[in-house]
Amino acid sequence: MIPLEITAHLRGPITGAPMLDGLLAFVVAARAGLVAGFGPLEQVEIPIAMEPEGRFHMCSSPIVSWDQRELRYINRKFPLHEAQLLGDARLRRVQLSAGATKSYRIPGEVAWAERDVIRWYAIADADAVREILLVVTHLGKRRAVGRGAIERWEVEPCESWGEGFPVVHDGKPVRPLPADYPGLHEPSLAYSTLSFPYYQHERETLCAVP
Amino acid sequence: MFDLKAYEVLLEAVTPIAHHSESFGNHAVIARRKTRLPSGEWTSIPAVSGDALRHGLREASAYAFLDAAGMLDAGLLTESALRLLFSGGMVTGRGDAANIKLDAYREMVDLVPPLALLGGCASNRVIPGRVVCEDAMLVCEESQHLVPTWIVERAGKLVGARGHIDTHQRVRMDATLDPGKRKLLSESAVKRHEGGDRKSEQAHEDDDPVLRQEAKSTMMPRTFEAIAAGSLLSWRVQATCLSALDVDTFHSMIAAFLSNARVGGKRGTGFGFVRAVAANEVAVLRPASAMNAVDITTLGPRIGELFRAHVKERAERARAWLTEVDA
Repeated sequence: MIPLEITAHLRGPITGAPMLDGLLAFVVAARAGLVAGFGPLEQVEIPIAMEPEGRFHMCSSPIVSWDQRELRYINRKFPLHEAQLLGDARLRRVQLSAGATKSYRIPGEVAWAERDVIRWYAIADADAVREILLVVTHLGKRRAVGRGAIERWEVEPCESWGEGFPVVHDGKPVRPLPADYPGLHEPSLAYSTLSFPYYQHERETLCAVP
Repeated sequence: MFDLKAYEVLLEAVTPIAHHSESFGNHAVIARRKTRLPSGEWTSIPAVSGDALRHGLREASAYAFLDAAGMLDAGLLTESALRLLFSGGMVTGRGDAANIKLDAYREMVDLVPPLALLGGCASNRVIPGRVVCEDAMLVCEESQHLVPTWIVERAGKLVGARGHIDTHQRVRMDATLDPGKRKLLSESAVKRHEGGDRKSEQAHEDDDPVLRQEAKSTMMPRTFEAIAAGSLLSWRVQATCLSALDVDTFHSMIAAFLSNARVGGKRGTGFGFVRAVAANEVAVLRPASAMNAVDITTLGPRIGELFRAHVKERAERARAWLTEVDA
């Protein structure tokens, strides 16, 4: 395990950049046939070093500046045409303005990363990380409709910035950390999840956050 | 098996595409994608959204599934089944959110294979999909840095995006203005319309805008933008396949969709018919430059055997399951 700089070169806008450990765990879990949210939570091994107390992995949050944003919409309407063709006799009324068959148009934002680049730092096994990232072609939310498309990945050894690499820089956290983590200087505190899966908000604790 | 199947497809608009993002007054504008140019400047390029194309895949695969299961002519689907197959279902809030069984998920994707790839919601949980369907971007001067090189070469001379946009006008006529059709009105309706005509004439003489508004006909001119016929679009679609059935289902849905692909609105008057001109299979797990040309237009007759046999074998169970599904 060595200090690494991992760079995603995007070819379009994205909605939210993920944590690197969560991303790797997602691929490893998918390869193992696990489906998020189904069945008991299983232990997933990823090629990033754990911190000595085993609470989180030694990788930074995504480091990115956003330079443009755009509002897009998700439209949905009940398949009325198919209901007329294929619906059974009990399907007698479809209400499009309320209830389960209501149509909707939900706004959501996409953003462009400055120079189309998102970066992470980690102490990890470079070859293993490269091998996993090979199948990651899209990042963030709404990947299913092509958001967060990746042009290419770069996984390169880098110089450590010294004390705290890659989770503390100049006394500030570079990822959610336990509030008492050594090396922090007057960090901002907020509730956050320390390790993947990050969608489990019930596991949130008071953390020092970037 | 863990295979990433990806295709880059060159689509051609056989008829104009009226895929609109919104309307201003009586004018509908085409959907565009904000795009960064190599110079750092920003522009908007017409595109067919990934959502619309993904819905096209879902709809085509749902019809292919119902056909294979012998349910297409029966009229048997419940509201939940319709919503699940054609819109991806919804989280209904019923059921126990704390108790999700993986075997129930496996049964569902075994009975309805497209759900394994496209995902959806059933009962109390969102089922993640494995298909990524990108926007189909207009091939033009502004998009050439984003479009695969082979598509740019195939497209030949490129012009600016504006050159591909046409404005159409339609008018909803007021049938009562036609003397021939007016003869079909009932006596009371004729009286009512004659009163309206007098009101209109009076408004004109008095130059009364309020009265004129009240008495005006129901004729409505409206305009809309459309991508011109013959325009080319670059589309990429991919799926993570975990079995041979996944691969065949993925191919079946692409072939079913492209066999009669329609996108956008105004389909009743022939708009939005697109066809695949060429496609490349992208080998994601090998160097990105390694691509194999495939004839995606002829995928149809040769694929889908495994998918159809799988669905047919489980048709009775699928039918029973769909009558009870909560989605």
